[in-house]
Amino acid sequence: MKKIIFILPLAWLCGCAGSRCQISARSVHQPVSCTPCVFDAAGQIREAKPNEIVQHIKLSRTSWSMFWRGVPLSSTNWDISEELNNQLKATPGNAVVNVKVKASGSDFLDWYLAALLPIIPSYVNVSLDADIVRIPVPNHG
Amino acid sequence: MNLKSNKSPRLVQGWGLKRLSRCAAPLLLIVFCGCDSVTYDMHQMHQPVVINGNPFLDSGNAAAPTLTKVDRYAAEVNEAQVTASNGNATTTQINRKNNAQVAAFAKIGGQSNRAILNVTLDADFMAVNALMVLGSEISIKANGDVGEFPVAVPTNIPPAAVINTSAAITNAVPVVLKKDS
Repeated sequence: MKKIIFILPLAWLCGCAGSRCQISARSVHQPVSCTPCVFDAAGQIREAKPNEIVQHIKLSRTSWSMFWRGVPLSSTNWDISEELNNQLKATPGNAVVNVKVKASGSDFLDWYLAALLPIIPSYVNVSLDADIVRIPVPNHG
Repeated sequence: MNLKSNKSPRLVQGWGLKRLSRCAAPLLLIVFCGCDSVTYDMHQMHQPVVINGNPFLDSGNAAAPTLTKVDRYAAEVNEAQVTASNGNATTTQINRKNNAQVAAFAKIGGQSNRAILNVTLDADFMAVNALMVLGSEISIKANGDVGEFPVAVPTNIPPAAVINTSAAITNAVPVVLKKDS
């Protein structure tokens, strides 16, 4: 009994915190490449040149969870299709290239407290950088 | 003889502060240096790695080749930091891993009819507080399909380009070695 009384407060001081976020863009019709390259209609690799960039885009999202990551407070799936489709419609671009994703976690004070008191939420911040490009398409027809 | 009784309260307090600062230093290190970030960056690859299912530019009139799934792509960019203390000494271990471009190159590198499709990026942050051990891990896991389309074999090779090796051997000029007497 004494052991349990001793162990329980110690166990209460242990815990974990964090969150997750999954990025996808399944319903974009134009190519969305993480590299500077896409295929043209003939299957040849086309690398986007710096002078073909029409717009740089930056998107970010913070995903929150509480109770040791067990209860997500925001959706863990982030579908960026709508944002990208809108950007592609607003510009003369025909592809999105150089997609770069950066993830950063909660600061120390937040996750330390969230591990002790699971009612405090912790987060993961995800930011995405990309370039919309207009690559000239050769006429193979 | 009790040595502690000879120490003044000021000395004991000083020793306590010194020890406290020694113990708190690694925690301060975590506060200011912990919680790093990771980046999924593929700019050195020179083949398409797309997060949707279409790596082809729309040309309007020509139909794009059809891709068939031939393999899976999985990679991870990860940074983990663990600080443990046994009361006397504190150790901090940092592990970093980034095989995003290497894994992509292993699947499609050098094959111009291949691309990585339908990539999903899973950003995950986890921190653990276990009294004497503090750890945090930030990662981006990438998963996707490797697609391939058939390479068109060129059919308009001129006949002159084909070398008849047997004729070349027959028409060769014989070399006679003469020995000077």
